[in-house]
Amino acid sequence: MNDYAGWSDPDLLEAVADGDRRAFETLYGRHAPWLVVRLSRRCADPGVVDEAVQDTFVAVWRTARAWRGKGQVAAWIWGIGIRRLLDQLRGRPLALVRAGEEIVVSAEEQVLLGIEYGELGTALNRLSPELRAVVQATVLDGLTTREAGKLLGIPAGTVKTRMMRAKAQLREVLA
Amino acid sequence: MNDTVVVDDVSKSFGRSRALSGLSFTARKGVTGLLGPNGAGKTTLMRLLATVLAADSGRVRLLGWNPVYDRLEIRRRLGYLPQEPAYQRGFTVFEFVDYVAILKEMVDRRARHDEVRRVIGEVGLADVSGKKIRTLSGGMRRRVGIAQALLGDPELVLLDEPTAGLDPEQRLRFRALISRIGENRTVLLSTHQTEDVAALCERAVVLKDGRCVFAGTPEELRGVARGRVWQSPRRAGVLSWRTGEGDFRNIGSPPADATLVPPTVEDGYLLLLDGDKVEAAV
Amino acid sequence: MSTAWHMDDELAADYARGRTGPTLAASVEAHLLACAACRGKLAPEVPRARLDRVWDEITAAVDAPRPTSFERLLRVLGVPEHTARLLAVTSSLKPAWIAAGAVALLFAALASGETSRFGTLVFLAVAPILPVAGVVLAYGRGADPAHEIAFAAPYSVVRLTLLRAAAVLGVCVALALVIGLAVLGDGGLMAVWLLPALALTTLTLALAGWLDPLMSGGAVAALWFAGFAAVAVYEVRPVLFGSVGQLASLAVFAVSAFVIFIRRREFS
Repeated sequence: MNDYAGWSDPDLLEAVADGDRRAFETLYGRHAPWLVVRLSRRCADPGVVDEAVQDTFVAVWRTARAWRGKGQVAAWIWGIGIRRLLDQLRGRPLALVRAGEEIVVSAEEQVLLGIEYGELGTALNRLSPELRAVVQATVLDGLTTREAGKLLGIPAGTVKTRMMRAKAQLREVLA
Repeated sequence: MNDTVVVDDVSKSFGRSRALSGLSFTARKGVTGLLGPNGAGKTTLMRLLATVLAADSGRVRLLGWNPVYDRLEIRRRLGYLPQEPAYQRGFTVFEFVDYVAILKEMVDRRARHDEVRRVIGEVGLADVSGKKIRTLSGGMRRRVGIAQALLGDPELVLLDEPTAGLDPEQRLRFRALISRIGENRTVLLSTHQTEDVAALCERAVVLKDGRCVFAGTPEELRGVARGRVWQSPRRAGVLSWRTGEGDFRNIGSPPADATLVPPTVEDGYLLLLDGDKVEAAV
Repeated sequence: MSTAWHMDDELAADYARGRTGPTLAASVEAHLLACAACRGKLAPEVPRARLDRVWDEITAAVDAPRPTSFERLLRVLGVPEHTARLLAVTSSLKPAWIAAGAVALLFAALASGETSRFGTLVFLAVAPILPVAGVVLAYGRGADPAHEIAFAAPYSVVRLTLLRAAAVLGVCVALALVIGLAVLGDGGLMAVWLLPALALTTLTLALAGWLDPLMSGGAVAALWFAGFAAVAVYEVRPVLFGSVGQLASLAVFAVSAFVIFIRRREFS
């Protein structure tokens, strides 16, 4: 596996598209752990998380060719991962989702880096858990309104109104 | 008797040409090498043992079964790599081995796939199991053939010229693989490479014109040429060729003052094939 | 996007165990997408055994051949998975061949638009031969390059052949029905060639016990066209499709099936 250690993610992905099993294993070694950790923060059932991770990498193997070489491979994998988790959660009790506990922020990294002690952080912390969950699912997890609704177990319309309310509150605090 | 393969006075003809005529030999657990020139009947014998062909006359026993009546029982315990096997275009390694696994009556999908993965791993192709067979090198393709022959852990494995057309390094790796396979099975390996036989077979059988002209250990095959190989500055004997040192290496009936040299398995094999010429020359 | 901000081991452990506050967690998550080094720091937080277990599942899923759409259709129809797989690799059931057959039929059917009598005849002549061609393709030497391996396997060669022939017949019948109904719009016409098709296909298989499949298929096709031409001179819908013809077809089918049954051992 050492020969692959120096390869960049896009190079690995290209090799995976050609059916290179060892490149795939290397990619898995790099990306599976953080994906497991991050998905575990969305879903408390390790069995469900494992299934989602499994589906994610099967999808990576099969659709590696579809990756267009733009942006981070990690972001692409996350996009698949969170959706596979959604697929797994479909029809399961929503108590599994702990999303409400956490908070979220703008996807722009520059903003995020200053967030902890900045005003935006404070503002976010003031949001109700319901509003925070919506911001997290749409902005940080990159889900569509409909997908966010599925993850949180609420109708898409509710996601939209909560998002509007969250934006209004943030604007108020930051003004 | 521990003979797992018994061939007794077997004949087989195709139209007017006689491929096997009164062939007899036995084989047991371990690797048995089947030597012979092209047209000696090696492939016919292999196909007969694989139950693809039926003998015209004579008696065959495979793992204690008679292929005439218990063909199915034999096929369930058989792994067979035909000579120059071809593969479906567009099949990946896994798909092809999986296809053969279905033909070997492995019904349960999960268990079958596990077994397919096992044999692919055994021949060292796990990394390319998702690749199309036609994109693989010749040596790798040959290993695909061996992988399918190992499905279901067969008691009898027939490999028809598995080393033909491989480069020396690939041949070495094949020997390691085949000798591992032969540790607890009966493996019959046809080849015209005497080095293969010398290196990995416990027993050797030499075919000539559809008959068995020798059966024994490679050491005994070498012994056939003992006292019949010598070196001389000029061409002599029935078979003779110039060696790297400039002298001629001769096989046949040496003159009284000849400088005898230790024979190789190949010397024994060549002597067997051209034995009648040798006798005629005496 | 290189930044000075990175997780230390303590933060990585806190994040992995859910001990970070919501805002900090959000920072971490956004940063992770862009920073390989910090992603690597999370590796020790997931047990090796768990990752290996998931990896085994992934390889199992990835290795397994993806079922073709034809295979999935068979599964829906209740065909067992292993049988569906065997049928899916039959070369005459590949999309290219099915398309070729469809085109041949379509031309035959379209010809009927010219002069009704001639067109119908062409369609009736071609439709029953289509499955014969399909069977020859499914069974011929070139169709299964690994036939030598298949012969030495315990799976019955006769069973495999009949399975494939049945699948080919099924596909051809469906194809001809659809095209016939769409172009000719004559339901009665659609039914009359079914028995002849079955008879010709079975006869091809029976003859394949002696002849090369290509020869056997060719012989059957030649016989069929000759007989067809002989009677078609007199009638729009030849006797071959009348009650006599249907009975004759049934007889051919029965005899051929019997021959296949008798010779099932020598079939390979």
